[in-house]
Amino acid sequence: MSAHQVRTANGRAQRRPLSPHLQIYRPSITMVMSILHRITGAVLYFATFLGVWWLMGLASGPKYFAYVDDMFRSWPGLVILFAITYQLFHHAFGGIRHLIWDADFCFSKQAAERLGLWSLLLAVACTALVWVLGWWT
Amino acid sequence: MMKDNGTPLSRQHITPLKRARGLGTAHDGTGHFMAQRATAALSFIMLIFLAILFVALAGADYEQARAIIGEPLVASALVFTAAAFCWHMKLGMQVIIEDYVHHELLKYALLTANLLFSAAIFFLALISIGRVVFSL
Repeated sequence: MSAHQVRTANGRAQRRPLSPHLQIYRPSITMVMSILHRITGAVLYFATFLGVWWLMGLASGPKYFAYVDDMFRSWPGLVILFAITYQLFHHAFGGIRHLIWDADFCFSKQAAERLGLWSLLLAVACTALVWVLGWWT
Repeated sequence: MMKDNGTPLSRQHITPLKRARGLGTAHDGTGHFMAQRATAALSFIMLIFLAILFVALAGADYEQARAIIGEPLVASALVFTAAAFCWHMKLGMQVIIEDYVHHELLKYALLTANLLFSAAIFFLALISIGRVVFSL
């Protein structure tokens, strides 16, 4: 799969080799966390609308608020909220990881991998904490 | 004699000062990078507030939710959160667009849409919070 169709100066099609890309490498925690950081960032970008929609509901009066709030408290709504909560913490701790690297720390292979694992664990722990606390109140 | 990438100053067509003032190939210097990091740090702090607010609102009905959001400190922090998030997401989505969209016209259309979406989210949050605060 490592060939790319190009056209030469005289118009002939030719297959040229490509440098190895994603499908070549075995996934590592640093690689997966990097990809997930961008994906969660993009998802959260659009998820902000849900937060604003709830605020608009709150500002619009009891009738529309009941409609919006019921949507969020339905099972699909709760699943989406849970996913957003996790992605917020995932992106937040992934961001802290990047700030640590920006400050020139944890650049060794072992430290970078440990950092990835820690940010993942903290994201899971914080999501669990928020939902356990939220469920009980 | 000062050198840059091994080229003697006498053979460069711009001086180091001119180069510094030009702010690099993006003509933006480190502005985007620094703003990304600053809004990231702010967003992290505000996420702690948002998590607490989320737990507080979990069991709240309409009247209770309005009372919580209408609290001046809570409302101010929430507007600040919206500002940090919206600025940060504008910068982040800009990088994604610049990385993947190479068609010039489409790229600038998307960059404009990105700015409008991020600004719209902020203003909707601001107006909604304001309406709750000032109707108490």
